[in-house]
Amino acid sequence: MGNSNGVVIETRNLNVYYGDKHVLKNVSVRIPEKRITAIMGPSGCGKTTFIKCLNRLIDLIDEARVSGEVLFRGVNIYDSNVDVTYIRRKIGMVFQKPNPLPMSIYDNVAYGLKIHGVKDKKILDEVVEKYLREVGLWDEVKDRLKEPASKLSGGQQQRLCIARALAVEPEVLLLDEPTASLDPLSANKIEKLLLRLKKQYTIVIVTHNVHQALRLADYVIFIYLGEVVEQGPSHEIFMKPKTTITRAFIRGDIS
Amino acid sequence: MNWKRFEEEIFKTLMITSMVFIIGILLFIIMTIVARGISSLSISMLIEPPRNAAREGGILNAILGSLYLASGATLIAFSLALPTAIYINEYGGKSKFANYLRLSLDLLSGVPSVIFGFFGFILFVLWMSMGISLLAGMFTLAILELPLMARSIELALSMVPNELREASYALGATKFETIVNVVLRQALPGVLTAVLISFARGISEAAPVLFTAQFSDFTPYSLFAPSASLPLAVYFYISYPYERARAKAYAASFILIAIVLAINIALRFLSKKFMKYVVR
Repeated sequence: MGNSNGVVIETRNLNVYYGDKHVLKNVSVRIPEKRITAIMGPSGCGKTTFIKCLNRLIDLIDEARVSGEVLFRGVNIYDSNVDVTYIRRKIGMVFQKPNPLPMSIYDNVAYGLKIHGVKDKKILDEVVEKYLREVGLWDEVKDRLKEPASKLSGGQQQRLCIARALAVEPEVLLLDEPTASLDPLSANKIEKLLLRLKKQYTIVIVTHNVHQALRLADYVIFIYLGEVVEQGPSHEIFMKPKTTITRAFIRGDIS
Repeated sequence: MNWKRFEEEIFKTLMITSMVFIIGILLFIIMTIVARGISSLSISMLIEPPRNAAREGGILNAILGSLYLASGATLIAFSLALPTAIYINEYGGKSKFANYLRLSLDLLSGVPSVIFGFFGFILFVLWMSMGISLLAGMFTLAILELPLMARSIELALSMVPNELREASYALGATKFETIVNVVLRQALPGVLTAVLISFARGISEAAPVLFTAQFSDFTPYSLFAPSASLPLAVYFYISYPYERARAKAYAASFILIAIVLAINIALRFLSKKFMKYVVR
């Protein structure tokens, strides 16, 4: 860190209110390029709210009010002249519960490209294959691309969702507890995939699982009760936590 | 004999009696109609319009009339019900206006069908000078179908999980793209059900067409001419003094019931087919 060229997303005094409830308080963090940043914290601390601010998916929540800045490549994505659809294309997202779209495996991956105007069947075919390979799903599904995505197992669905997000060529990939609803084997596959993907993408992963953060993260942001308690390179946070609350969370005393 | 066990027995008997009663009524209706209807059915009944003041010929006028009336009405109703339902569920949400719309639709669906007939007569036949015609009948039936269809489509949309909308938005889709490509796709079986039950409702109503499309011994040949329909064929022919005319009434009721049953059965199969890509 320190080198500002390496920062893809930066938040400045980000505050979020749900009605009268103040759920994120003066969050100022930096997300380094082509690293895995883990957003860590106990359930209900505002992790999901925070990650939804980064691609403006928070806009979908009617009662949410956002103040402060989220800079993506130096541009505040909450500026009125910013095109939200562009932001969401550059900053992809994968959710806690795998959410395949009600269409075939092929169409799930092609969906993003189609809505952004790619009609050429050859290009679509190539992209679908490329990203299904990228997430290690190609060999499992290449003979049944026309089948409904809902027929895949939970772990396969989640990898499909990652392929779908990658297909629109984002720079950043946000993942909201992507393994929380999966079995350990599928979760392991996803973790390995993320370690591979960080060579090309900036990855932000929300997790309340300390061990997962330890295995994956280069950089950790610890949020507690809507405030950033600590942020820094993961070895510093895990080896020498500065606050007692962080230490307690890492030990597993609070969750 | 303890009281609790006795209570249990009473309720069990009550439930079984009501069940038998319901199934009994259904069977009785179907059997009466089938017994009389089938014996009255013949090829000429199905392919000929009435001749010689209904003493001869069949009920092709009513079969085609009903199919045209209900199809036209369902098409018109759908083109209004779909945007209404999308507005209420996807845009209006909990807003006051959306709630007033819901309330209006619910009140509309409670209006007796004869009132729709009367209203259709004044609005379409007289004011909009469509005259007594197939077209006026279609519009009147459409208004009758509209509230039912809009509310049923809205229900189908409201059952689409929010995660699917989020998935689409997160890829940079607009609201419109999300509704067309994701929400409607997921809700397709529900939308189809809404359309078919509305069709079934429209085809079986007599009062709205009585004042607007009236009746005709000719098979429908123009949107601006009166048209026969199955419910009115039952209503008119049953009181005729000729055997052949009464047979037409039975045949018409049989066909009407057959169409409604066929729609219900088709629904089971169709929705399974359209469920293929639906996420559960």
